[in-house]
Amino acid sequence: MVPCHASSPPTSSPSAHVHVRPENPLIVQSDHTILVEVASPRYAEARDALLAFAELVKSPEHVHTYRITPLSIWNARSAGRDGEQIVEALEVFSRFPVPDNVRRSVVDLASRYGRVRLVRSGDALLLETDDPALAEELGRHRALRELLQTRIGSTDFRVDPDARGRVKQALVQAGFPAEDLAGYTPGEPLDVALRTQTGSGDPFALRDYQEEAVDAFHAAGSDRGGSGIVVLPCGAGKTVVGLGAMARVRASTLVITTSITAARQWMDELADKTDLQPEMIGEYTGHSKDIRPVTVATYNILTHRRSKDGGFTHLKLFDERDWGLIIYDEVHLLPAPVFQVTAGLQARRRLGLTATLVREDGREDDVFALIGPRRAEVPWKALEREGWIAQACCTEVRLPMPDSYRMRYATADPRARFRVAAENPSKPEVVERILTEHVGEPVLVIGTYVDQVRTLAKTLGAPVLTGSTGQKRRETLLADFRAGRIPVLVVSKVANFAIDLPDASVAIQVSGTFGSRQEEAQRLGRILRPKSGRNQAHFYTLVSSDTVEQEFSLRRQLFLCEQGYEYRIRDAETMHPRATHETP
Amino acid sequence: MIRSRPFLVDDMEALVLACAAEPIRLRVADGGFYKKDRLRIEKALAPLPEEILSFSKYNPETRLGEARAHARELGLLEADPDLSGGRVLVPTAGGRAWMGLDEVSRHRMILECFRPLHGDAGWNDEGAFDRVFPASVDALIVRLSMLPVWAYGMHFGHRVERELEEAAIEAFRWLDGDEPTHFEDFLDHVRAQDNPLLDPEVQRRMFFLQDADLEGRWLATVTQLMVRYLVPLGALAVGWRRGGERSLQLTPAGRYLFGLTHHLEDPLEAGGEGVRVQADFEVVFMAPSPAAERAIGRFSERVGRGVGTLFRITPESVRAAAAAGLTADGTIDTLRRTCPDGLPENVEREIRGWMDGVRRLEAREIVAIDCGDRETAARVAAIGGRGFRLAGEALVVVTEGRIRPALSRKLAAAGIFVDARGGES
Repeated sequence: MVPCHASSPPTSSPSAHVHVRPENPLIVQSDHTILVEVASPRYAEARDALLAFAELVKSPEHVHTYRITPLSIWNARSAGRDGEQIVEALEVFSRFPVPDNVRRSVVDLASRYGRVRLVRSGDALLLETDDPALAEELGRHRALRELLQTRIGSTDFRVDPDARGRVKQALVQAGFPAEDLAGYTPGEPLDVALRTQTGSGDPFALRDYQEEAVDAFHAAGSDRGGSGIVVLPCGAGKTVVGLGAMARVRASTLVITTSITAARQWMDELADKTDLQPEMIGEYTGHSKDIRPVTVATYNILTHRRSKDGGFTHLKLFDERDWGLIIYDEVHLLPAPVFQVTAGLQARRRLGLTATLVREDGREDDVFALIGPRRAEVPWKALEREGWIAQACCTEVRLPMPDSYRMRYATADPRARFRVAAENPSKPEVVERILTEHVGEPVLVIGTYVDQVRTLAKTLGAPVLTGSTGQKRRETLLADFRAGRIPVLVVSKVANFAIDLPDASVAIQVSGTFGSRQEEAQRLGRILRPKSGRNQAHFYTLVSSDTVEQEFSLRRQLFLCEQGYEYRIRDAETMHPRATHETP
Repeated sequence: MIRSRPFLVDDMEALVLACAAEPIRLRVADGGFYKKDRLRIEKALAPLPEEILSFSKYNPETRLGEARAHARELGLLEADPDLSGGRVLVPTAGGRAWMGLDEVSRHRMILECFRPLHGDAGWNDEGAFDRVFPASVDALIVRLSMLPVWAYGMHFGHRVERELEEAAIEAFRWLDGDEPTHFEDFLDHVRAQDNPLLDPEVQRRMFFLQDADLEGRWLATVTQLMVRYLVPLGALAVGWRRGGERSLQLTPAGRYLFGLTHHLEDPLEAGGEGVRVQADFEVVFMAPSPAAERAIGRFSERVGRGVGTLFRITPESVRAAAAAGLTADGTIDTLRRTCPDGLPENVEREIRGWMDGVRRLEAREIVAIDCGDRETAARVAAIGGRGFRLAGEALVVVTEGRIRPALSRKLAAAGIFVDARGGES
């Protein structure tokens, strides 16, 4: 090693020229992620600015992470922000200079949105652009050239109205998302308004954030609104936003949900919070095929077919009436066949409701192209602060396996070990201990394995709800639980989706797959509705220590911490002793 | 801006960590690393700031070579035979003890090894030093200053050695001050002060060298000391002053090395204001903090550089750190001192759990008799008595490591013939 003889500093010396503004909360990284320091006095301001053009990736306690993606930029463009405004917002709140590559890609991506437009000309649908070179490029694009009919002049194409959705999908893939200004069919008119008092006599009005979401979706009835996604956390009242949209559009509406239970809850909400008469609301499920001005269906029935190769006979529901609005509940679960139909429904107003834009199958592009851009999103922390959703404390309780059972685990086939650990026979006793800490609170005990769930219910003397529980019994149990007649309800995986248990404030998870973020979010969502008093919910998970279950549990721990929930780990022996032990 | 970084210490840490995670096989021919291992470890070395790289081309290969040489010399690593007959590089007990120390103690230990033997009283007073380094290291600074002379096969008496050492110390102490010193000014100073190589005895022995040669040789020695030791030890900060002049300054570690202070500052006390440990096990730096980076990098997976999300604490990274000698208390303490907002409860709990679960086991060769079936194994074990131990359904371990002839005869008398070469009759 020898000393270098350079006598002057290199011009690229990073430390020499960096202008740092420590009071600012953002760090914009060259991989297009953005870190936001929550403790900064400018945090709230910066977060509100970011929400418009970046996706929240995770929100643990101190520093939140956002990501800029093509879709997030196009969402911002559809809301009227241009690239320069986005870069300016980054610069205003950034602690260090914004990396040049980020600056350039934001401006480039933003400039792509709206360079092509779908417009109506009489009965014809046109794809137009001001750039002849771009028209030439699109005309030769592999996915587009078959969809574009005839070329009109140097910049416009005639498009088959039925191909409107597919053209939009192809344009997103080509990196030039279309601004869809072709308008909507008004649909069959429907006289519907929100009540000011619910059926039970409680005052009712949209909350501010719900009102804003409805405004953003409707866009005063213009062609720039009328389709898109509203992202709200579990328990924040997405259904009510749907009702608000119906009251604005005032047209016959098709609502598609994830299950019969969810469909019936929509119907209950419609009856409770709108002035629709019961005969105006129909259920289209495996149990009933009733098509009314407002019809609530399930994804399952729409994608049902008699044989593996048969057609989806119930998809005709989309054409059974002149729907003015289609609401897709839990839009992140939208199945592929419904995507295909939706591609042909671009002339109808469409509202997607979801707690997350992330799809397990990665088809976020299609949601953007076919349902529409994100119109509104409210972070759950803001709602928690306002008291609109409960604060949740997540606790992982670790318990050892009994010695005899430990040997069974050790000798089990590696593939069976997870289940052996999950069914640790010590778990019921620990559940009882937890229950003694929450006397008087409604508790939901959730398990994955039906045998375990049934055994647990027997031990606890609590009723059980599984997939095989009949609809009538299910509704009775839920009603009793809501009314407080049942303090503890043991449920299987049916609790994962859309069962509305408004009064549950404690959930105890005795087994889970722990691999699915969606499952975790849904289970936690069961207890997030606002609570009276301290507005505090508890989410316990029982994990056999030193087993593969503990390893899997680390994934859910990471997920919940990323979401910003408080996470504690306790040993079972530190839990409150069972009530029976306290009795002399 | 001038910067310092004790990267020799960091590099030795990275090497010890790598060897603890998986002993590194050495080439039979020359005892060097295999290319794949070398590249993997080089990748784990932290990048150096431009100011330091401009002072000398510290490339990863050279850095790894230096780190390995020093780590072995200081007794942090040793080459052990492995079961396949080759040799592997593994941390010593002293190496693990060193890794378990806190930031400042670890740095101090290394500085102690380089402190001049004839320095001020009061140094080398740590009891832990002798525990960590079983053999005390000679004053390398003296040896190095004599290197150019050794090249001619000369040998000096004790007096000249002292003079060389004192002259070097004096030269570097001159860099102590509130402001960095211009590099050229420093060279002028070294040139101007008494050159120990111009000692009459040296001149007499090295009659074939002119005074100008001896002057150049002394400058080269001082420069080599900076390049090879002072900068890598973090004792000297290098860079440029505002006017673009290449400059140097003694750091707190340098002041400690040259006996100007007996207290070595904890680098974590000075920085870490913008470091956050998140409940999802990520460590985010809201402002640069090289000291915190070095401290946290020992037990986390690096995912970024400078500012932003720099580390992820994973079960694997924590277990590897524990294998290298880090303790749960030390790790938690480092995180607490680095992160003013505190440590999420779940992170602390998991780190302790992961570290508590680490076990160090020894693999060794044994002699065992494969008996073929349970009944024969029981017979063999019964005949062998305390010398044999049943280790499975049909396996008997010979606890003494060999079958004594008397035992062999007893077995034969019972109709059991053991072929010690591997077969059985």
